[in-house]
Amino acid sequence: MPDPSAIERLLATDWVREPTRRVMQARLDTPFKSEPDYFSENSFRQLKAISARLIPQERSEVDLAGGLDTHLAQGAGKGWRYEKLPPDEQLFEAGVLAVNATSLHLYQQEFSGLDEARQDIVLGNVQHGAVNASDWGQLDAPAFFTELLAELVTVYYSHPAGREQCGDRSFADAHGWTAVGLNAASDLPD
Amino acid sequence: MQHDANTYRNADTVDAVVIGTGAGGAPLLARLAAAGLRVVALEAGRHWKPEQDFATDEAAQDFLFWKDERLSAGDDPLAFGNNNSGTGYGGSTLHFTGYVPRPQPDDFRLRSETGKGCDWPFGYESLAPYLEEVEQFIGVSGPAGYPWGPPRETYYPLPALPKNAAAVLMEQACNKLGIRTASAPNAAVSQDYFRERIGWRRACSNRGYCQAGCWSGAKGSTDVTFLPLAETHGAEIRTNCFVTGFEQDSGGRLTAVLYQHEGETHRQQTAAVFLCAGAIESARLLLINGLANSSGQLGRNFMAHPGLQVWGRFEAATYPWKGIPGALISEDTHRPADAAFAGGYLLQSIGVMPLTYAQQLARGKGLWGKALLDHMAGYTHLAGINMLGDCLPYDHNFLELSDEKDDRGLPKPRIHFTNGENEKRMTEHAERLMRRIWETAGARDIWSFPRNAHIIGTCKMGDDPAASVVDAECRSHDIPNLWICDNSVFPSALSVNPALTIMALSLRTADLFLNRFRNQIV
Repeated sequence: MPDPSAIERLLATDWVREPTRRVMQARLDTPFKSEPDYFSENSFRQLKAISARLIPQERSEVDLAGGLDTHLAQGAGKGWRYEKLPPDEQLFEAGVLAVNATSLHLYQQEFSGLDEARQDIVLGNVQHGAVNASDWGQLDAPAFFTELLAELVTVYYSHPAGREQCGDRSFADAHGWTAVGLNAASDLPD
Repeated sequence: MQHDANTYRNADTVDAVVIGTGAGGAPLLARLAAAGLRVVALEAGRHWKPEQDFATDEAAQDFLFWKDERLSAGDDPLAFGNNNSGTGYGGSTLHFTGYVPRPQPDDFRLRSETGKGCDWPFGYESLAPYLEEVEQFIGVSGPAGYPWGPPRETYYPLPALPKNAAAVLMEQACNKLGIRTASAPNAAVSQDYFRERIGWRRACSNRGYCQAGCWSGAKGSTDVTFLPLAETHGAEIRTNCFVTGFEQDSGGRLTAVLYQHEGETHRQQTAAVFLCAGAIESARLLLINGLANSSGQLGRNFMAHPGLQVWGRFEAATYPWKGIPGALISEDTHRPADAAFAGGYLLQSIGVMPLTYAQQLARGKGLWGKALLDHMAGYTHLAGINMLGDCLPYDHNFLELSDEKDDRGLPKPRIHFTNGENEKRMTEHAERLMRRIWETAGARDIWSFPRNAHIIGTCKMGDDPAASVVDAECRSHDIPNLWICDNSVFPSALSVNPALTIMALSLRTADLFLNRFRNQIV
């Protein structure tokens, strides 16, 4: 079982170089965001609910919605976008609202108010494009779904809790690795 | 480290301005400086201090990637940014994986031999001495012999780097299947390596984050090889300088380069210009300025290597971040006997950093919820193989300027890319074989991630001024003192990772230029 404190203990040792420790510690120290900078209040509420289904966490350690909001507010982008999708400044707000519109259409309830089973049905419909044009307009639902998922995955697997979830120890970078090959666990930190 | 870099004034007419400091610009910059020429390099990105600035963290290293937005169109729209486009002192070599296989002689004669694609205006033998020089200078680690391509007098200066789990698994399975493999040549040094004027580079520590920047200097990116060499010979390298245009005289020769630095426009006078900004930015800069396009070929011939990856989960632990990602190579499929396509491909074992893999799962497999977390819980048991195949040029694949403006007020480029029938057949062939190798290796949950890697073309090299942008010396057919030297000039994509060839081409271009310079025929 992943141990949430294992990474924090490891970060305090000389296994980790300072630039790497700085980055990881900053993520641990960032408080959950209560007010969005990029999203509207309503879409931020829906995004929190969407994030909880796309990446369900046992202990809510990673602020998925807040992390994405901060990233989008910085306007850094990733250097490219599919031509068929609008720029990030519009895409994520419009997409989250369209997911909510799909929920209202199907169940006459906001996404954040649905039970988990219904939330998953809505998200599955969005992923596979089983949505109404009246809710999505020109926006390509499956393409938006993929962009949102990729962004949330980035937030989660950058965070120490995500690293722990997948068993990653690559950030223990101070000594390099001498055991390289199959089953080469001998040089891993405990 | 010794630094004798000069500082030139904008009003000094230098011998050459080099735009870009990656694999295309850095080698020729060093060569021209060593010959005593007054040279200035303009680099759009920053000069990082890797030891202090580089974290072992993919998201935090995002600053290595080119962020001016590009629009991806076509049926197989390409990912740019961290997939292939870097910035900073060192350009895209800051994030290249260090794969440096040589092209093979028949790669340069694809048209003659298959009737498809395009021949280069010169052959392998013209590049071979430069390939050798680059391998020795940057310190390539590799096998004691190499099973493919023509025999060589010398092979690699350093022994191969250790095989990580993916390499061991691929090697075992290929042995069973009768497929030849070899340790992959890689630009990371397997032992401490000394070069005159540069000093020692420390041996690779097998950290596995080559694509997120090497903090120790083991990887032979240009920031620890050709750029410091150029500076010891007096080259001036200006960072945070984004080139926007040129001045010309009445005869059409370029007389100055215009660039933005800290919000101000500067103007560097020069006798010659080397444009080495990569296949997107080199073409985009010329299109924006309406230059060097009498052929109408600027932006056309855009190619990207088919690079499908096959992943699987193994009983044994693989710790996929350990070691250089691609430690094993096979070129047995360079010209497969049963091919229903022109050209061929190579195979490489692959390890992977966690975030890259998770993003691929999201984009390629669409996994979310518990299925995503369950899959990622097996990260430490994953290993992959990927193909890298030739790509033909098509009329439907090209770069153009869009109507959308970026933050600098310049038109964003739109890149159309759709794999053709040849790439589809090649990819099917490779996927079948890679799945068979992974089944033989004992992999479970095998899945494939379609992708294209590397960006090539847009400023095609050729002898015919009506059908190409630069000549066989990489000189513009239209502008006599403009050279273009990077992946944009490749007339065909070749079936290998491009960095080594770009660096060799850069040295060749410099020598041809110096010959003109000394004989005053520029």
